[in-house]
Amino acid sequence: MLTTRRCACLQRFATAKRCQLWRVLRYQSTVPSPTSTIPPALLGRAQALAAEHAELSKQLNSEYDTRIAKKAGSLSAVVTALNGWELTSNSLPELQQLIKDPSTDPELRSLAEEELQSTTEKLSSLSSDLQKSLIPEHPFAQMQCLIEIRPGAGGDEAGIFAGNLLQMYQGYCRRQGLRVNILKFDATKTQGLENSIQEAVLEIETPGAYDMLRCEAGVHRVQRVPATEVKGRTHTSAVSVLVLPNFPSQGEDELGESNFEDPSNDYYVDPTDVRTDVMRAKGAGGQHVNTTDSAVRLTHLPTNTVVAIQDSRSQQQNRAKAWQILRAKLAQARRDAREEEMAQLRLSIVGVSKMGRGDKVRTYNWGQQRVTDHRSGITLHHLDDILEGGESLDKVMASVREWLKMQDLQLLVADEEAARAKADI
Amino acid sequence: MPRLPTSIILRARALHPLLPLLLRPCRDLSSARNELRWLREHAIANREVTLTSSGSIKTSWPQHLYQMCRSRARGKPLQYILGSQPFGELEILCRRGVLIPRPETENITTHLASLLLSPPSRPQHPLRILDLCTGTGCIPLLLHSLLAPRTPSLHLHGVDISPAALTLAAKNLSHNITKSQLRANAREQISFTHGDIFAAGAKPWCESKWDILISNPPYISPSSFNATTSRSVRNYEPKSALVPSSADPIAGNPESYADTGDRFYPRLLDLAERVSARVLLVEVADMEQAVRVGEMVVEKGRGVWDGCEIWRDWPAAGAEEGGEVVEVKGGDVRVRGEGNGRAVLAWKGEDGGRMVGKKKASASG
Repeated sequence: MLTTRRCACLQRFATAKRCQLWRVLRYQSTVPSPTSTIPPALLGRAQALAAEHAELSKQLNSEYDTRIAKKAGSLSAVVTALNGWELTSNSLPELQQLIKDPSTDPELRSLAEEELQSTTEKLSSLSSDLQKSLIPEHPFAQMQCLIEIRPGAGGDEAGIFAGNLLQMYQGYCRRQGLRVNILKFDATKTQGLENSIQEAVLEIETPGAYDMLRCEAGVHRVQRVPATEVKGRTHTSAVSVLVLPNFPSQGEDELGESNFEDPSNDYYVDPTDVRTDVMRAKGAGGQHVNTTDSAVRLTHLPTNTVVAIQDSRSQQQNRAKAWQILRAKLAQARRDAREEEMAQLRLSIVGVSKMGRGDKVRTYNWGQQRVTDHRSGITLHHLDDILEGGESLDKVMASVREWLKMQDLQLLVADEEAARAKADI
Repeated sequence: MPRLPTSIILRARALHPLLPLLLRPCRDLSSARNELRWLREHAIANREVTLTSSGSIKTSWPQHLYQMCRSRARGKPLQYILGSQPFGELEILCRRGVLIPRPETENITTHLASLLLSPPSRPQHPLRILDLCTGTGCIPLLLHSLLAPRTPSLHLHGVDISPAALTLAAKNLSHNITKSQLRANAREQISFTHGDIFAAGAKPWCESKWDILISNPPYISPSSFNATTSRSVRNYEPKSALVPSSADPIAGNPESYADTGDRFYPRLLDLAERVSARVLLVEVADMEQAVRVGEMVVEKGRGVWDGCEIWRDWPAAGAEEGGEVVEVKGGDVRVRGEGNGRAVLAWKGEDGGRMVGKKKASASG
């Protein structure tokens, strides 16, 4: 009995060790150290983008256009990174040649070896820069965001922990100087007189907040002895956090129509996409006839949306009205598509099935006073600081952002390779 | 005119008892329904409410509507029945005896205004535009409504031989100012005078200098007046605004214009020279007439006109560069837009070319 228990103890100990070891390994595997080599697919993409940038610059020299300038600006980071990388990687063979060459002066050789080492280091940092510059910006990166916090498995305890997370994000936003509003706060009092949250929604009104906070989406797990627990047992509960881009209200009717010249507006319609048909007099026209055909039909070619108006005797008024309706129709369609996209996004972040304890992104353990993020593998022991939204939370979030970048990069490589394979066929 | 099928008449009657009447001039159901709607709106808007002796309220708009549909069925133009025609942003009043403004005229006038306003050809100050055979005054009024917001100084002058047209033009000017479709300064900047463009002798309007001469003269030949004009035009609109009268003295060779509507053009070209117009825009009936007018322009020689161009009904439509050309007197003349040949544009000097968006006096004459 005793021996088996001791054995069990040892076994537990060993398991714990193994777990730790595994985690360390995982930490290394999820954040690969940057290497000096770049997947050829990515290099090809970088070169293609640089060529596009050169083309755009040429266009800009002949005629300035804000849209082209914006695009060129977004590509310039890639060009700079590529140039730096190419310069350094070209110097590498020369150095190696120098070292290999038996006729080289020994002093020079030792210098070259030093140079080679520093160049290799430089190259690895440059190649990681280049890879990062290739990651396309998240389409919603510049958006404001909403954070929805909902308790999952765990009853009142989960609700209480949801309140802790709410305070954590409020503290974080205060410290980062982000403007934050509570849009929804739905809570009940528990016996311990703590708030148990059913649902809370935070609105962060600073542009770019989505990019800062999207790493927080997922299931957050808590392990502690809850306030509601009378027997002192440790519980494991989960809270889901949704981070959604918040579209500024420019798509609304009253604001939107006034500035439909702006291409980012929902109401913007490129006039070259629209075919206008008017009733053309049959026969001679002009002074020969005095018909009153004023019907106007607009066809938006990309979507095949047709608007025909013949209300007024004035063709000009019919045309204006048709344009107004066409704009409204297309704006509606665009908004629907965007809402669809949002719904997809919501599903992909937290499916209903993922609300359990299993698919967690982060664990908060009171007993060990630690926080572990399961994506980046980082573990910190400043639980209190993190729950106040302090600097330790910054560290955790930074590590997750890095991890997200690596994920994006892998996706990019996979996409690029798939595209190349297709092109080869 | 082909007979209307019985099925369409039956369908029209099922929709509204007055529709078969309107089918006669309209020839198709959708435009008949549009016209019925406009007539109905007009009847209701202009209804008279009378109190009968028994104390009940009586309105007569259904009878009024019936009367209007009856006259429309006889071919009276809708514009004369309703008393107006939209023209750009403006509402041009129409009365029997004055030609109804046509959408083609609206198109070419709007296109000219857009050329005058486009950056390389900023209007010269003050810009002086002369409109001959002005009729309702629709061309100067529309040009003012389009140009005035971006042109500090304008002077537009309309000339017509018909006193009825001049009265209506003046009425249109004040009507559109009261409806605030025209700026208040239109009253000073637009004027109309009586004048016969064939009359010899000095008139104030042909003694001063004008930048642009524009005209929609009578251009229908007597034979096509009988053949191609619609019944409504023939029976209700003034023939003097449509067909050049044979009594008008003919400049040049009388034989060559015997049965064409070209009589006005040589005179308009002479007048354009006399008032040293730098841009000339005249409306024509079709491509053949456009080519004939183009020939007259080319015959004047390079010293008078540096370039010439033919516009179709929708001059703004179609490809910007490398469009079609027609051969006129051995030279090529650009044809712009889509539809029937509708107008001939000529310009003089670099100045005139710039006004209508020609960078240099191009070799098209």
